[in-house]
Amino acid sequence: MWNQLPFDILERIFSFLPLDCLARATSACKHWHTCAKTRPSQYQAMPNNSSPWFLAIQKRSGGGGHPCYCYAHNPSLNSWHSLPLDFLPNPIRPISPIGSLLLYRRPSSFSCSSSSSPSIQLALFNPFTRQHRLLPSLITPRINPAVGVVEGGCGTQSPFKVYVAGGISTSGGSAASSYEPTLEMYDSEADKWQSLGSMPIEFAVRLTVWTPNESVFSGGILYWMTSARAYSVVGFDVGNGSWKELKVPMADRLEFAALVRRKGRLALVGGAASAVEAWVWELDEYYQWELVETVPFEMGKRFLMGKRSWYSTKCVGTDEAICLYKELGSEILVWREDIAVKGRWEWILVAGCSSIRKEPVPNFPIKGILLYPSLASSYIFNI
Amino acid sequence: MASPKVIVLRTCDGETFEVDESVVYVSETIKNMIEDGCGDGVIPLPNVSSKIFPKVIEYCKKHVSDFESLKKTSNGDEKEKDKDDDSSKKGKEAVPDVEEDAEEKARVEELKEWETTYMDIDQQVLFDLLQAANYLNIKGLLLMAAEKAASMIRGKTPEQIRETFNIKNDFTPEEYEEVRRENAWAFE
Repeated sequence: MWNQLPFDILERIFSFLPLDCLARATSACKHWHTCAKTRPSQYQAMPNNSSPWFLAIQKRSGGGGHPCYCYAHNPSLNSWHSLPLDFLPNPIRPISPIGSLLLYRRPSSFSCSSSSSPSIQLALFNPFTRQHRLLPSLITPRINPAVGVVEGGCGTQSPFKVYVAGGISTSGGSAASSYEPTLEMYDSEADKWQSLGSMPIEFAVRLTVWTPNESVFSGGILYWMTSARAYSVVGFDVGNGSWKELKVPMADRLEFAALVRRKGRLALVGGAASAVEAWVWELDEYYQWELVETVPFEMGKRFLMGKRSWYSTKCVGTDEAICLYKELGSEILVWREDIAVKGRWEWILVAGCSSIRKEPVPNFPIKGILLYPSLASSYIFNI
Repeated sequence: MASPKVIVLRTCDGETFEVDESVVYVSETIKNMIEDGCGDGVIPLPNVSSKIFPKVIEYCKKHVSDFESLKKTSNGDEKEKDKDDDSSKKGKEAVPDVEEDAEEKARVEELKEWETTYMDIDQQVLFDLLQAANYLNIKGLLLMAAEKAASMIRGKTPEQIRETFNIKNDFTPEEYEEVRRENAWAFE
């Protein structure tokens, strides 16, 4: 009876379940399991189902052969789950979410292909289903380029493109390293990289990053924050191939700055040096920054735990939420759209992860990612 | 306006029912059949039993006035690929946004109470209701029943879920171990 319910109906029921309940339900019988795997629910019936999950990926393994973990915060239960990453080489360097998948960089010891030129190697995985695969090797070997993602839609079956720009050239032997002023693009539908030609050398230099930052795609332009002194923003127009640079408001006063996407627009979150002050700006249609929010003082103070420094603060965002975070055990400061009242945004503090199943968890340094999880199998793993 | 027309429908077990046209119009399936010209004869409903049909009609009767006041046709209010979903059309019931209107508030409250009573059913009836709402294409009823089913799943272990819904575990031991390993993170 219930184990023969048509997938159309079952999918609707599943759309009301928070992810962990869905995961348990898939263990009930084969029919339910198949439905969850093959029918990613497009029916966001409940607000909680469309909340992104904050994933904290351990930056360094604990040693002693222990794998790294991905700690996932369940927004509907306000609880943490631990997902072992024992099926991946550790530690991974997460870059960006792509739908419900995570794009990451494999550790450099794994980046040698059959040629002798080391190169960044990109891969994808779904932390909740343990599915993973490598992307094909780049056309032009390089290390530490900027990586950007453009999604073709939302949903686990949507196509996407990955752009790689700049970096240090590693082909041509071990001579003095030079910047690689070229771009290439991976198209998921073709499962291939394609060269997009050259780029201005000054942008290649600025984009050669030592700490990869998430890109933001807005208004047809892929933006990156450069991590060189005095922050600035570099943008690549994917339509016409042109480059631009934007100044960052209060660039000389900011101790940390990050780009996020807010309601489709490019936004910048920045914290002042030596002060408990932080702001959010949005880029308007004239490419001017407009201050849209100031972090409430008391919350900022609590987040910084009495310090007057935003050093080691990181930020990640999606259209519906912006998160400021530090280490795994620290509180996360979240600015998100009110579930009950659309259009209204609220600030909340979310407890960090200090224990799982009552076992204490060390206060690992982490990379935070906001992702819309799914248990469905993505086409990309079947190529 | 013409005088209310009565439609005759026959369920899969041969019973016939006479229902006002405005009431059966809540079902997109029946509405389409009537618009295609089948409204004068007996409309067959091969996938609906006489046991569940009255329950469905009860829902339709309650929602006739909503339906008429909104005058919407089969406009999907489910979100497809639109990520910027900050409009309020989120697959909700066909109830208009609550203005600060006391009368409106009271109406919504009353409807909620009615829904709670209506959905106080066992899993057998729920199962039939889901199938009927799906076949007859009554979106609000399908969502309400789906949400009820979800509430019966929430918080339960797989064993408890199987017991509630009378499901047999048809995984082989190896398959089950694989599935449990896949979802180990959720069992905390």
